[in-house]
Amino acid sequence: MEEILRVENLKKTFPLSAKQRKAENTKEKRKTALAGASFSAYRGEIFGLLGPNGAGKTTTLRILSTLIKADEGDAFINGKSVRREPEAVRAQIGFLTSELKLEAFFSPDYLFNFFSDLHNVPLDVREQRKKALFEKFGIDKYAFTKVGDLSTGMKQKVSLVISIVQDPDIIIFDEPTNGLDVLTAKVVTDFLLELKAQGKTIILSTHIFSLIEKICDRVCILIDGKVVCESMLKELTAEKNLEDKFFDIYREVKGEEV
Amino acid sequence: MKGLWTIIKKEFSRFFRDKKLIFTMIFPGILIFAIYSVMGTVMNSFIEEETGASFTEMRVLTQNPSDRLEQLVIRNTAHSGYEVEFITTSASEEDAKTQVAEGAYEAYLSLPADFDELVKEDREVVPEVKIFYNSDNTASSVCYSLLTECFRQYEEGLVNRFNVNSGMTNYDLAETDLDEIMEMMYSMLVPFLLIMFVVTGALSITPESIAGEKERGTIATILVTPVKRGFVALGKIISLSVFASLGALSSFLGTMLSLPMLINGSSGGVLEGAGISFNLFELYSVGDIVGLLFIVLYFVPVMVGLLSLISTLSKSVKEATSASSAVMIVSMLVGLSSMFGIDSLWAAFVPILNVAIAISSVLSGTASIGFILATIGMNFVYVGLLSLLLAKLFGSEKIML
Repeated sequence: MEEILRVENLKKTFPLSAKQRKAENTKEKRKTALAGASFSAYRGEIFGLLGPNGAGKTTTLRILSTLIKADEGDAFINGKSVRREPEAVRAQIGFLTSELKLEAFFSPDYLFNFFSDLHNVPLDVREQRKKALFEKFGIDKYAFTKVGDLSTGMKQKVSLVISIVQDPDIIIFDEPTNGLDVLTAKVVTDFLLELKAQGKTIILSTHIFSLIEKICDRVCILIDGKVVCESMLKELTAEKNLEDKFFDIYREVKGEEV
Repeated sequence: MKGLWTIIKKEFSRFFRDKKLIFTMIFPGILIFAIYSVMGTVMNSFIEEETGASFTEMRVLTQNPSDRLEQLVIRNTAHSGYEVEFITTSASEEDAKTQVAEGAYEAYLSLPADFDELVKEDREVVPEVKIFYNSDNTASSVCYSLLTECFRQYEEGLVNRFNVNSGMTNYDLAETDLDEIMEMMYSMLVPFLLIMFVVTGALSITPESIAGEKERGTIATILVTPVKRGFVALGKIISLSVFASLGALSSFLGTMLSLPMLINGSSGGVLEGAGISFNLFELYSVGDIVGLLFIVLYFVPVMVGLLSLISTLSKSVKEATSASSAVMIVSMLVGLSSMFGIDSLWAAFVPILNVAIAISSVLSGTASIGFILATIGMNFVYVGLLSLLLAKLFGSEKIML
């Protein structure tokens, strides 16, 4: 298996405001989001990051997408360092998260062209891809409607399509089905499987066990900013289902009942 | 560089597809033109209506004409822009007074017959001169002052031992021509107005474009593409500078085209009557206008850069607008400083102040090429520094996310 992503000892802390310290009942001025996380992903697999809220899943993906920098450690995507070569990394990945929004004033057609230009996609390739993706997600009917006038589900489909304008080898999705209606969620999960079939590597974070069981090849469990388990899904769920196995690990790590 | 161009194109698309934004930029100039023009016309017509004639032309109803007085009036008004016409009447005093009260004439001058002969003789009872006028009417008041001054000179001339400047010659040898009055007025007003227009133009778009994109999460979507973050910052500064320049240009044209009408209107047409030119291209050379344009064009990115910095550091459009308003007030106060005639070279190193002084010096005809070049050069340096700082800030997760 060809290693396409290697994460080495990522550490990240965030400052806590007085209000946050009060809410979390702590005197610490910084909160640890990642405490030395390391894992690898291989070409053509769907790799799931699983963990409770605050485990560090989103922080990991934001570091991989170069949106934020790690305090320590590094990650390599196709051999490119997220710390030292952020532009080269960004050229190779598609990143989708609910915190990235599209300008409501523009149409899906304009935004597809704009982001394709930023990724240096040739004009003929862009038009072919736009046609195929717009048809697949039913965006073609709304191609020239302002994003602000689209339904929530359609906006998410547009965001998904925009995130992969350059046909990246690695696609990073943070909670890809969060907030989606069942129909849109199915379209998205089917599409992820289709991308995998095309040889793409997908890194996704979620706390939905069923999604991991349905589409992931390998899984990494994060708790309190540390990788507590990295395994093939089949091996992890050989004896128990993913949910039960997760809580076994959680009890073992935290020493407490959920 | 392609990324930079793509960002600029996107900002242009955003601007030129949004009618509201275009309206916000262009409308102030049209509004200023309309307000100043209407105010000038209304004031002019108000004065004309009140006086019943053009302010520069005054008509005096005279019962018995006096050649000496008329000569004095002609001499005293030769360089003022006023024109006084004496109209002989045989109407009764009551009728003449009524005509003056109604505004048909500016004054009624009642003199005894053969006045010029009578005043040459020594008499125990001196001839009576009556000047009826209407103090509610500005032109009538001016006419009255003029006539009393001429009579005073007439009386002094009767015990004449010598004459002082009694000919028609213009004895004032100062080289100040009438156009300089207008140039001085422009040099005091325009720097303040131009700075205000540039700041308000930049303020109306910058917080929305930067703090707004941060607030809505749309800037983060661009930050995960391969384009260099410095290019995103630079693309914003370049395009916002173009839009702010359009806004400033619109307001500048609106003001420069209508301000003369306002000033002339408020003087009741006296300035125009005195032969003062209001035409920009008569007052200033093409070189002056081009110089002015360069100063403004190099100032716009400084202001856009400054407001972009504030917007980048702000968390919301509201916060950015509040902080930028403080900059606007400071800039306007600095704009007023051009009225105090600061001309030291050190001022070229002070942002905003250097622009106010440079504009003022061009408009008053006292521009020093060294100061103008230093101003443009320093603004170029400030834009560079602000762009570098913004590029740095755009790369900061604490600031941008």
